[in-house]
Amino acid sequence: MKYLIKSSGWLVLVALWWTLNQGKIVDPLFLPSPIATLTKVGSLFLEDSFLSHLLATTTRVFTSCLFALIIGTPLGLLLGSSQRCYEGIEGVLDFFRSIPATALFPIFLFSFGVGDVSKVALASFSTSLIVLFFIAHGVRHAPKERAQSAKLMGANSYQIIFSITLWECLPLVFGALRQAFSLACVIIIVTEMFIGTNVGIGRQIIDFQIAYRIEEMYGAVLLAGGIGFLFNLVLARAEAKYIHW
Amino acid sequence: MNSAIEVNKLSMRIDGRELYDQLSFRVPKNHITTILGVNGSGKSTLLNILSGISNSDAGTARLCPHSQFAYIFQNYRASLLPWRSVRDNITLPLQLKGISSRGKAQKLSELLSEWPIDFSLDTFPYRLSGGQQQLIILLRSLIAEPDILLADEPFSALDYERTLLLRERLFNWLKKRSASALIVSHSIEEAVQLADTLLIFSKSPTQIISRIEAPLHSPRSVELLSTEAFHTLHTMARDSYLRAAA
Repeated sequence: MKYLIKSSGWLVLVALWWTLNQGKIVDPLFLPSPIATLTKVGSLFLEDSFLSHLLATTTRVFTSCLFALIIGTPLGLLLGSSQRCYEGIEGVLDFFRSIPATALFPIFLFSFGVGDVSKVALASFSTSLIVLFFIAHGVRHAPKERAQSAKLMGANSYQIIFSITLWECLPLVFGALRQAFSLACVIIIVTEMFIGTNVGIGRQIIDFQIAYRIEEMYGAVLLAGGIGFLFNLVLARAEAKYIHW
Repeated sequence: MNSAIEVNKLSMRIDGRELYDQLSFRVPKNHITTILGVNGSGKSTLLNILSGISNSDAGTARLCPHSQFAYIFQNYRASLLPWRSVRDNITLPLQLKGISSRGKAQKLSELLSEWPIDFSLDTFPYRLSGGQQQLIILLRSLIAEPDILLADEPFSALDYERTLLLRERLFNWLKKRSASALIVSHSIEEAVQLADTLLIFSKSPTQIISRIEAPLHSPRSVELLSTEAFHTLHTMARDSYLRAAA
């Protein structure tokens, strides 16, 4: 019964898709049947080149998230713990956060060329802002008692950061990472489509579309969604396990 | 400075209102002073000033220089580290001082021989009751053997029976180590049972309405509460407290 409830959303989705296709409500040329599409997903995996596309995209996304953590965490800690820093820089950061990442394409193209560096740099830039804000917000709004009592016990700033503040922020790091990952996926796939690359799911989707291989195109879209879905699931599990409090 | 704590003509303004009226008192070394006072009389603020968390506007409130002190916050829940086990919470002060694992284990077992606990050291604080959490905070404050203990309602979440026992234990512990303490309480009985001296604060602007010496015998056990001497002090304290609150 529990599984039936959990899978009901999927069943409705597939039924709807099937109806749209079978009833010819949408031209089957643009929306192939679910069974044909899912079969294609399977056969895509048998193509060597497809695995390299998958790998290229996931590597870019993960690298971006890694940079986001490396850049965003220390800056977030700094910004969260210093009222002056926060007030001074809040406006500028809010402005940058409000620029759609895609509008920055040209700038990153100029600066880093058309290779992987510009794609990863753009995704890292946007996602590190997310991590930074999550952590800064967490540090600012954490109860002061823990850090204060550690300080009274004679802790130095280094000890306070590593014994208290970082732990206090850890649940937020998970939250930030989930959002950062979603955004990184969007940016990487869009840049693969429009900045251009030889390998990547984004490139595949465009290629399939141009070649009118619509079933494969949907298959690739489903896979892109699948990556995000899986990673979120892994993070949620890890969070439940390690953030036990 | 030959007192453990000295408060001299303390003045502090909060929202344009004077909190203290030239508050002055001292706590001698090896002496326990308890404070009773209505809400808003600046008891917690006083402990914050003494510990250095807050600053006064004028006057002084100081602890004896070079003394080790521990401060038990009123908000015990927020000062526990929920990601650490009970053991690692209690030994936190030792860890921050860089004491080895062996040293920590030794100190902990010494402490627990005087303060037995009825829950596991390996569990996490959020699995425990409010009273048990409060006991962890108390043990965390005592493990580094402070010379001065500042405590803000340290037993507020414990059940009555256990409170009685812990008061006695805390009194003995402080006396055995010649430590001093300033303890804020909302229970008249507790304030009398723990005190060498009991201060009753007026409403703000706060001054000391009465100062009651409590030359009761040690140990401060449950039996003490039924004695004539205790009753007399309790009545005195209650009368002044009610006068202060009126």
